[in-house]
Amino acid sequence: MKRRTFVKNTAAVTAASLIAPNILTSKTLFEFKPVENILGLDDDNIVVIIELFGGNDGLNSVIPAYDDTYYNLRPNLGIPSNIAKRFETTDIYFHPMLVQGIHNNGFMRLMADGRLAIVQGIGYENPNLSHFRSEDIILSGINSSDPKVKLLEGWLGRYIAMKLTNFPFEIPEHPIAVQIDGTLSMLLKSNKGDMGIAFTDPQKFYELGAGLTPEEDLNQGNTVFDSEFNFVNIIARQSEKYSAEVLKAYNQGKSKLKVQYSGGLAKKFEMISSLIAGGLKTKFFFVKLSNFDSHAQQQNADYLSGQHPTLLWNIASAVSEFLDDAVQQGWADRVVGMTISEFGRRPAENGSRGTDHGAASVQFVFGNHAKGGYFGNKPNLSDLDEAGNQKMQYDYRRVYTDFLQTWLGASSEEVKNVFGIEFLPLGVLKKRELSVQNPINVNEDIFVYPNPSFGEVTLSFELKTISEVDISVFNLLGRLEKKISKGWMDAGYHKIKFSVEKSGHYFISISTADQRITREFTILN
Amino acid sequence: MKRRDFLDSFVIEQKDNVLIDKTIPSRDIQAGLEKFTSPLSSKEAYHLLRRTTFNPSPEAVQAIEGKTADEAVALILGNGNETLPKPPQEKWTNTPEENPLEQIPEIKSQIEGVLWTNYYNFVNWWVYLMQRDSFPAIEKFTLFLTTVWTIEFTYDTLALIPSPLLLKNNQTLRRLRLGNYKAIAEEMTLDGAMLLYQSLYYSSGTNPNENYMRELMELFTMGIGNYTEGDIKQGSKVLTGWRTAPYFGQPGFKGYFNTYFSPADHDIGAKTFMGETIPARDPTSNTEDQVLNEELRVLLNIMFAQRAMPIARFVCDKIYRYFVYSNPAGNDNGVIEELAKIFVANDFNLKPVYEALFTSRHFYDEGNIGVQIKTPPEFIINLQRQLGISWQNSLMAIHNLEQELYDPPNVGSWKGYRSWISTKTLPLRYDFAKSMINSMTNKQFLSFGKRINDYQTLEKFIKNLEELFFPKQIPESRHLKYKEKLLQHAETTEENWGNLIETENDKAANGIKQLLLSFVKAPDFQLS
Repeated sequence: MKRRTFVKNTAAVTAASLIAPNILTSKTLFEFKPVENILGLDDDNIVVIIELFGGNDGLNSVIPAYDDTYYNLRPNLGIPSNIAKRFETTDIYFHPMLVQGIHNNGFMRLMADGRLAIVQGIGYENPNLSHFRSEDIILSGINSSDPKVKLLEGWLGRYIAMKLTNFPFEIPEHPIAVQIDGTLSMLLKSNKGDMGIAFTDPQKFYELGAGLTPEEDLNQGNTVFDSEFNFVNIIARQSEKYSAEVLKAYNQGKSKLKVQYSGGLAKKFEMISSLIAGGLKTKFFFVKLSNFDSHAQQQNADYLSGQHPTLLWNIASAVSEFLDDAVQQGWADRVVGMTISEFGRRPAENGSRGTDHGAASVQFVFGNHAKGGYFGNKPNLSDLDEAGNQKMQYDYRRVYTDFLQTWLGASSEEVKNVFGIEFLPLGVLKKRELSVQNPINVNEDIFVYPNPSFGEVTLSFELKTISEVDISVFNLLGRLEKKISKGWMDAGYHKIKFSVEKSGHYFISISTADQRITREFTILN
Repeated sequence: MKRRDFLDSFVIEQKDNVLIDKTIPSRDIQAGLEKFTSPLSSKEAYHLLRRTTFNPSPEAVQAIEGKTADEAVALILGNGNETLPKPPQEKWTNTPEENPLEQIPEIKSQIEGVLWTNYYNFVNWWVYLMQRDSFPAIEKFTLFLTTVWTIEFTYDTLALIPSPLLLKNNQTLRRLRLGNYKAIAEEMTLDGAMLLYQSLYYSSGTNPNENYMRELMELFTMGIGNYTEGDIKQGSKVLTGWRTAPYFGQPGFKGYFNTYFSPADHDIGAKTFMGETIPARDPTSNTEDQVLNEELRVLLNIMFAQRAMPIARFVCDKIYRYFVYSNPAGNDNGVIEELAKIFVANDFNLKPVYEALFTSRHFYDEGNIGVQIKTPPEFIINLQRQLGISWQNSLMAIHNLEQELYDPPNVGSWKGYRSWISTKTLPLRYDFAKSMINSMTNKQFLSFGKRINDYQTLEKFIKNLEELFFPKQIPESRHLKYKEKLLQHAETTEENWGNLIETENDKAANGIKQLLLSFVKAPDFQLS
């Protein structure tokens, strides 16, 4: 079933269930359902997310070796250009520990293959320098420094919860999200409960889950006690089911690995690879790498060892080995991934051979369907914010929107439900062509004129088939500025006039279920 | 739409959002802090003990049942001036080790090995205290303070905090568990483990470290939104110059593990904090006493005077979440506000707040019974106290259930509440409970049984056991199943039960064992 059709069907089902609410609430036992059915997805795409907790030093990951300001700000920590690893003749220089001695030459090879995207200046408005608030912001997908706004759910947890319309009465038979860790991150929490599972050893996970299903049914009452009782009860049932499914997949998959994984973070990717190879239907894999909070002694004098270089080695080894394993096993087209970190480090080093909390930084996106390359302008170290930190270029949620919309086929309404506002996907991922070929229905000849304009703008484009079209204007941060129109349009030429009040640079986006085209234009008022 | 408007509308919108689980009930407890005057029933006595101690055992209930809440709470809290427990005369309590950072890798890992062993000795000693805590119940209040004033033993990849410093921190919080919050703030600021953990140990006039000043306000006292980045910068300067002596060969000015002042590292310039000025000082007046009195204490005075209610609300909210319900809503916030007023009126002394809370009608309201999820130490220690055994693996189990004492996941502490229960920890909880039960001999099952009131009468025996292990009365159908289970495994009849247990028959032991194994699998066994 195609995604669009499914969305319409669910709408009908939801409406029907509202008419007969008793049928839903009087269910005492819940059901396990196949992941595809419960999510309404027609693909087997997978997302891998690596959190770099503590604030990764972006300037010492991708090195501005062409910029004297960098060396002035970092007399002790700056990586000399002859030590940094330059990508061909570009201004892209990697920290040596992202390349040197790493499987397949690490990030250098991924860059050459077009499987690595470097997103420069990722961040959010009004950066918060607290690890916890900032982590909450990047994990929740809600940028609020207002303490009254409690951030308790992850954007992924919210997305999954939105798909589980009958939770907890219907639960996917495989975990939708898996974290290879002891504790489940807020990323996978929702107000419906945990939307993923966390474990480090499948065998132990299985042994512990066996026989856990309680003799007691769910409580029917509506008190706080009933709610907590049912919470524990469902976790118990889920534990037993998932422990069996995880072990089955792990045992089937571990013999299929094609790459020898190194230690550290790579060991977690070895497990992820086994689970995928063994047929676990999990859509999201999450790992967290800590200790990026490098206030003191972040790097030894050789530039190659110490706290931060070791962490970089972990990232590059894990990603390179995993992606190569995926290629050799034949499922590389199914997987894309990204790194996230609550903030970067301050460009100026501190007196303890370390760096303090920063703001905007670098993000890596990887996989066959990542659009390899460099997104954004080079960091401008002469134009810092009042705390002495880098200014943002892209709102972090533009990348998340890429993952949800471009990669998983979420609708713009769904993305809006997740973030509370619509963002223009950054374009860092390529849509995966599935067996059903999407007919191109928006002609490439699109005109926005006059450009620059003094207010009123005309958009003209051609539709080849009747389609549901969304036309929206986004500002440079990728945040929705104005919705021009949304609805079904006939095939043929269309001319639409609209105006934007504020001067500035904008994007206009024309999107259908299968395609999105954007053009930049300028308003001078 | 402006950003602010967007956030507001988003928050409001969430109420009707499809994401809200409509089954989550609202909290609407009407009772406030009015005094709970009737004598405590066994149910209320258990409730009080479950929340404030690690010992909701039949004996502890007998000690407070029938007393007024005032009397019972006085017994549980104590006066706060009790003699502190003495740690054993062992190396981990007082011996400095060399600084591992200054060593070659092989030596470094040897020293780190010693530090780890010492750490385990220390936390093991603390668990030992928890296993033996009686009246006054000291350890849960101490533990509560460590969940606020967090210390991470593995505070970064570079160094580990020596156990004598952890022990000092622990004894300070134990001594001040009912004490003055401003005094706690002062002692924690100058606490050796905290100085190391929060990098104040490295903070100097030329390079003030902002780490601690931020956490002091954000996580330990008032919460985000009550101060500016400027306050952090200025406050950091006030806190420059404090040192401790954690490593062998560097005893500092006052001996190992004692905090001292290093004048050369203190910023003597003027500081403006929350709009008030702390004047610059002359190098001749840059002494420990003067800087303590004229800077650190002044800084804390400004914080507690200017942000009295925010601090009181912040602390009382934490108390409420820890001891009453972790997800307060609706009228609960009014109760927290009333507690905050009591806190301020009593000059930030904790004891009056605890007294008001634990003797209130709100605390004993049916809506607060059984709604809390047991924390790892509650889960592990309570069960042993109830069964009357001492389980060797307690520390390991508490840590595996994700409350690593003195080593929380980050400075923001453990998240608590439902985060304690996951598809990882719930299976472990069941496993640990089973291990404890399986470690018992028949003799132990029988002596456990005989500690229960009316143990000879099957019906009453089982009802009393249910009251011991479940916070709320269970449905009759479940009760009948449990009864059947016991009879089946004891291979006896209701009439013969009294005789069977009285004669110490192994079958009675087996019945009790199987019943316990059923109890620990029930969802409400996780609730408190």
